[in-house]
Amino acid sequence: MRHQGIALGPVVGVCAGLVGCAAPRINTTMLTTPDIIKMTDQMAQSLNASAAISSRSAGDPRWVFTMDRVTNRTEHLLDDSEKWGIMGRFRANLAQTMLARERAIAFVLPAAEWSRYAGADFAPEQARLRPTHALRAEFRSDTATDLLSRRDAYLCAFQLLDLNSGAIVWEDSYEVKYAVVRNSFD
Amino acid sequence: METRFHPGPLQPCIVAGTAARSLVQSLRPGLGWIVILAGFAGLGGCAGDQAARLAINDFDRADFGSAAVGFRAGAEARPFNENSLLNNARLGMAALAAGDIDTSVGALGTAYKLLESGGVNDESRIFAATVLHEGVLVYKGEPFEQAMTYTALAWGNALKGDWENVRVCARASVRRLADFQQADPNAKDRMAREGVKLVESTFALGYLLEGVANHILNEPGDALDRAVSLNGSLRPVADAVKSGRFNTLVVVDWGRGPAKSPRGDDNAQTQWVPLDESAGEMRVTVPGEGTLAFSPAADVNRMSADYRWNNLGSARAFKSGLGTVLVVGGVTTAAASENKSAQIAGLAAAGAGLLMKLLASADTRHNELLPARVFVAALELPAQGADITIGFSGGRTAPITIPAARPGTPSSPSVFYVRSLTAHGVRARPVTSWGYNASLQARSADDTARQTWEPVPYRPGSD
Repeated sequence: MRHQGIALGPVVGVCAGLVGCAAPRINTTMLTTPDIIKMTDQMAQSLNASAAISSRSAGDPRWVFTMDRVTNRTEHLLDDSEKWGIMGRFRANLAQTMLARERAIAFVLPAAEWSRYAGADFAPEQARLRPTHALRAEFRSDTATDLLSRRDAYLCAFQLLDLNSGAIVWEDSYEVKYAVVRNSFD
Repeated sequence: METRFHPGPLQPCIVAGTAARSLVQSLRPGLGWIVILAGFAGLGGCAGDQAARLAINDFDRADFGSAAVGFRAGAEARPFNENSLLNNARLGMAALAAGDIDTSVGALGTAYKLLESGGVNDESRIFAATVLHEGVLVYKGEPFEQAMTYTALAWGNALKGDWENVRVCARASVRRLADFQQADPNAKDRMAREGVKLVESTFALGYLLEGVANHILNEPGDALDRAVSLNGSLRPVADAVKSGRFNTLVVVDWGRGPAKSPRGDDNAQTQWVPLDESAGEMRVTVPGEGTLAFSPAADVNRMSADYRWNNLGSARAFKSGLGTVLVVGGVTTAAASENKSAQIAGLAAAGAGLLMKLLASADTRHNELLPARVFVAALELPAQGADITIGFSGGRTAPITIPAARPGTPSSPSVFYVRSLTAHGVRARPVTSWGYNASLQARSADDTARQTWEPVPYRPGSD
């Protein structure tokens, strides 16, 4: 009885061969790689063009950016590698511009990641530049589902926070909507 | 002769080829060869079925590592096929029980994406399922199987400490069942009788998981209250979480889940048959702290009765009935007529009828790795740690001891996952979130001996 359900391979093969069934594909409302590319490109441009950054010059006191928090409050999975991958691309986009040199900005690894370099003759916390600002991201979605469809409207919000005052120096967001239609066999 | 064509567990491999040849002889010759070739192509499925069968046997013997190895090839096959979701769910659950959390979360993540995908069963598959056999559909499982797949992924993420994804999985499980309940007229009537609002799911375990995740993530919500309103026995766990008087979660998947079994003429209908029914209460003993009793947070046997989705039943009944008419009519014609052409036509009709009856058999694919009961305990262990002994009042399951369990904190609790099986003697295996994977130290020779495990180092991502 326990294995009865897995013995109809040939019947399935005949049926699939008769109608030429295509292999099933993943088709969800999850954020996609093109979204991540577009999102991080837009955010880097926006931050570059912001008043807080564009008004700075190379001679200003250095700002030290850390990325300490990425929050997923959507209704889809987003694991750590994906979340920090988004922030990593954002940081790489900024680093590829002249932002760091012309605006006197340095980037440091998040504290948890930096602490992995600890060793017998190296205390990471003492060597680490003290962050002055934190880049943060929070992903939320407005999700509606029923048996035959699912719709997700994403709001991916990014902030630059002044760690001395708590002031939000810059913020912007990326929005995208996805929908999938299901049938009663999905 | 007719009985030969009732599909027993191993017959369809032979029967399908014979019956297909009968059918195609009545069709045009070119199409016949295509069908026969497709049948041979389908024979490849027999090897996959055999591997799955062996892996299920391994799982039933609590050899979870071997079971995971057995499911891996089917789960990793690309492109995806009809059983990709099922095999990934099986691999994920076997790996979870074996303590291979990375493999588990990866496989269940693939299952999640397939579950959330729209249109995986396209028009051609639906046509084939309706007219031919529904095994051609991409398996997505009954609503309760889907909910339990999301729940298994939640446990994997809890063991990794990723409570954001636990919250996502918990909400997905609740939403999935709510979607089905709203669409199922029988469920509507039943829920109305029970006074449950239709927009809500009745999956208390899902709400409990969401509530725990919300608490840890500092997210507002009333999920814990909803869990208690649906299952009052969850109040001790919900209260411990709400008050922050816990630092450890113990999750036990107990027993074998129900089996989907064929029944009726030509096996055209299905029923869920409970395999393990009564664990009683779970009793968790911590030396110096006393014994706490916990009722099941989810009864999967009951869920299998409540959440059914049977949208091809009438098509199967029609095929079965038509097959009977063709067989009786064809045999009668062949026997009564002295005209050779009429005899051939009668036999062809009977053959087609037999094939029709074969194709009327219901799809009984299901996830054999589901538990029968799920227990959740929230404990406040002393700071120095303690042995946790888990027993069941049902009497068939031996106590399980997790030695020197380390506590977490209310905002980052330790999580212990135990897969307990009762078949072939008592087996269980605890998996922990605190940097250790447990390996079996002593295996009982009978059903009542105590079992203990010695933790061995485990580094996430290193294996």
